[in-house]
Amino acid sequence: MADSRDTVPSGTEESTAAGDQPGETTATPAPPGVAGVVSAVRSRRNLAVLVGLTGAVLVLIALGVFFGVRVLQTDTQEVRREMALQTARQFALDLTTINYQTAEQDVQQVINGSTEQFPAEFFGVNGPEFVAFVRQLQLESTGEVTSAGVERADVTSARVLVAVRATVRDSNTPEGTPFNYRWGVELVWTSDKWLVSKVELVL
Amino acid sequence: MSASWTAARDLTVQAGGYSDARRPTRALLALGVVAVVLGIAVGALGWLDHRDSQVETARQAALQTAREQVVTVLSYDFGTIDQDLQRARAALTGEYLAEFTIQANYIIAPAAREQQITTTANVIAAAVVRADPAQVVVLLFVTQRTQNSQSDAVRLAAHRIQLTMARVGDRWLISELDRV
Repeated sequence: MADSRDTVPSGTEESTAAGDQPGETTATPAPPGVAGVVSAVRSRRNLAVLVGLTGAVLVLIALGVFFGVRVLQTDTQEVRREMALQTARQFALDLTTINYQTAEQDVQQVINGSTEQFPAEFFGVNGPEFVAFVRQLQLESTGEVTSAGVERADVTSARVLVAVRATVRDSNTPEGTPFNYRWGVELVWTSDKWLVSKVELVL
Repeated sequence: MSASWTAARDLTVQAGGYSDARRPTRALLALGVVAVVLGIAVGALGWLDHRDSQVETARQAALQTAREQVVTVLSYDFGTIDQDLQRARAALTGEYLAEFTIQANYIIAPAAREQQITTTANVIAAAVVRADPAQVVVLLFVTQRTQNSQSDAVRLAAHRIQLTMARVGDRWLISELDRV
């Protein structure tokens, strides 16, 4: 077509050529002939594919960031929630597993898992005083956590409900007294772990 | 001099033209691969996000239903015992439904009529033990107030109840009830 137009430039052909002007201009820098047209078509198609793919990649990156952030946030929350649950369970167990023969370690275990002010608030006396009290009464307590669930948990604080069964023996009641506790355990996040800040009976 | 420069330029243009025609194709192919890999990654993340929100929805819906339905199951009045137990059964599913039906017919209903028992349950606190989209385990601290014809005193009982909630269609039903 282009060749025939070059060789036979009639009036009508001229006007058609003028109409084709923009297409003709784009094709000019490429080598002339069929190869040139093919390459022009190919490069225009490539451009469309390039634009399309770039757009798709950008949209996918945006979606990836969006979902990634959400999943990461939820996972952090879930990990904290599960840690709060396990910490509260273990703490409830430590709190009900106290033997006068190992009182010092048992009480230390409780102190390690809780905030500074907890022992005084919960036992009514400080750690060493409580140890002396346990030894004096020959107190023996064995506990079992029968169920525990998260009431609420955010990134820095949580409250866990714990159902505990405990049997307490002392010099006055050697046969032991069974207790069924309903505990609300409050926890605070301290740099890398949960610490218990409060244990209250849910009445 | 001028001719050789032109020839050299033509060669360059030709060489350039040749590699230019291949380079975009290769670049497009690479971009396509990137898009596919990104697409798979986004799909996986989207699926994880969808599952997370399903778990969260399940947790909230099951907890709310458990709070309401444990009251339905544990409260009854000897005057309306049949309707009360029928309503309770509607909240249950699976093996626990069968177990409860037997208990209701042979123990709860006769005793309620004979001793004129009225009992009301109150949820004091509720928490989620574990949750997935189809099943949620809930721990409830329930206080039950019971009255009967034998005495004027109201008896108070502190229960610790673990409920397993199962999703049946778009509803949450109690599939297990354990006193812990």
